[in-house]
Amino acid sequence: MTTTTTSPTQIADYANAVRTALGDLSPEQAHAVLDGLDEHLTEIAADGPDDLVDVLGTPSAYAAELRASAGLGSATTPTAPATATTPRVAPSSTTSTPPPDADQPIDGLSSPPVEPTPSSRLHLGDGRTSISRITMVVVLSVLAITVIRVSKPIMGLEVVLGALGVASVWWGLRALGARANLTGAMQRRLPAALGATALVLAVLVGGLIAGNHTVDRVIYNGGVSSPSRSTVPTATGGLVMVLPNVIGFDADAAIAVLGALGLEPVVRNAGAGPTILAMAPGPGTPLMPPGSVIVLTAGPLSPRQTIPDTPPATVDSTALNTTAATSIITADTAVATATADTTAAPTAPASTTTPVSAPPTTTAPGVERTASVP
Amino acid sequence: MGTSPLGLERTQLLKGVLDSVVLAALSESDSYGYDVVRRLRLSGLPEVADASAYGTLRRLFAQGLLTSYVVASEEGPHRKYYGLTPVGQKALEVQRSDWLSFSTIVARILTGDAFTPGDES
Repeated sequence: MTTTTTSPTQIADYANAVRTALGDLSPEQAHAVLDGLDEHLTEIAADGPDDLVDVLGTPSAYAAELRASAGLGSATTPTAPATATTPRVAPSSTTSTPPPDADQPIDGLSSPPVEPTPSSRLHLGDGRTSISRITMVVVLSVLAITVIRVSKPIMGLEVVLGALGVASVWWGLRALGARANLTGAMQRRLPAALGATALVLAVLVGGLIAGNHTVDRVIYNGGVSSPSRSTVPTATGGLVMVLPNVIGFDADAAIAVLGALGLEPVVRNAGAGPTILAMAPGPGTPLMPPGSVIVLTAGPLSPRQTIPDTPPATVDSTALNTTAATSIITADTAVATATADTTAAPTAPASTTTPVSAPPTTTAPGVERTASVP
Repeated sequence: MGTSPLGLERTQLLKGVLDSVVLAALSESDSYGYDVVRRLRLSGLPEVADASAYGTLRRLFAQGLLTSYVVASEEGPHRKYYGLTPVGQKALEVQRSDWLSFSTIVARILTGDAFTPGDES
């Protein structure tokens, strides 16, 4: 290598002039096409030219040629293809390998020229845009989960949305080749950003899942259901089933369905949300043995919810839908006659709303009582 | 640049094959920008412009056909070497095949062999 007569200052001046001529490019585009230019010019200068302009032409001409061969078009016109090659995502600027796409053939001669877009040919300018898109996806996912969860509790939806949110972020990264487009600083921050996103989603989804399981236990006539299926049969051998957060809950439809199943809906509350307590009559049904109870609600039940075993028609909606459940009914105690609650026949269809009597809340917690199935 | 006014404009021809010749040069051995230009010129393409070659290198790199790595140099600036990726290797193979096919056809046409009487296909 001969000693260059071109000073480092001249090299830098030439490189800066080229950068100035390409000043209309986005930072990402400029980085992709100008990365390593100084070193490249230094190599040229080391070959002995007295003046880079003599060898390379003016900086503006060099920049124009560089722009054209890089497929960026002219300064004021849309980008135009230099050669007919398939656009791909730009890899990072240092030791790296572009996204694997080895099976797609590249036809450099016979394919028609591809009209590039700002996000195609060199895929320049997607670094910061990728971060913005990721952030937007995360924010929208969180908002969607929150809004839907508040407006219409649907079991499992949060899990689905959370998974979709993470999947969309992952897909976005792959589709955009975001990592390859990011600068070094962005690449260093990307794992932390993804980790924070995953943590937020995990906390949100986990919290929503936990919150959705609001039924601690439902006890009726000794039978225990926790949280939604029967674990302990009732004193008469029936099942206790709780179905909270019923999607599209319609009380009338639910009553019709329960009737078709041989169950007798005996209460319908018009409080915060309709709740139906359906009981299997004496001989039972093919699906539900006698003494079984199904509780259907449009929203979640409160933890440790109790279903008073008094005549169902008198069940108070507030008792079913508040967190202030006070008594636990067990199967092993004598019946404490519920005298204050009887206002309707136990098998009357639940065509009216809002029973009038409160459950026997005067019973202190822990006092045991049972009642037979009406 | 170019030959006689009636001849083929080599710079225009070169634009059509610059990608391919750059890929071919790098398939022989990894190289840095100026070395690619120098090798192409020594191979019989003195009209290769430095900006064209360098811009092509950067574009092919952005398209995933090339990989790069920096080699520290004690004598001068660090050099960024380029090499072919598997995608680039496959691209070269396709382009090589296309060029051979294309150039053969053009050669036949230019030499009149394409118009042999009775060859209607």
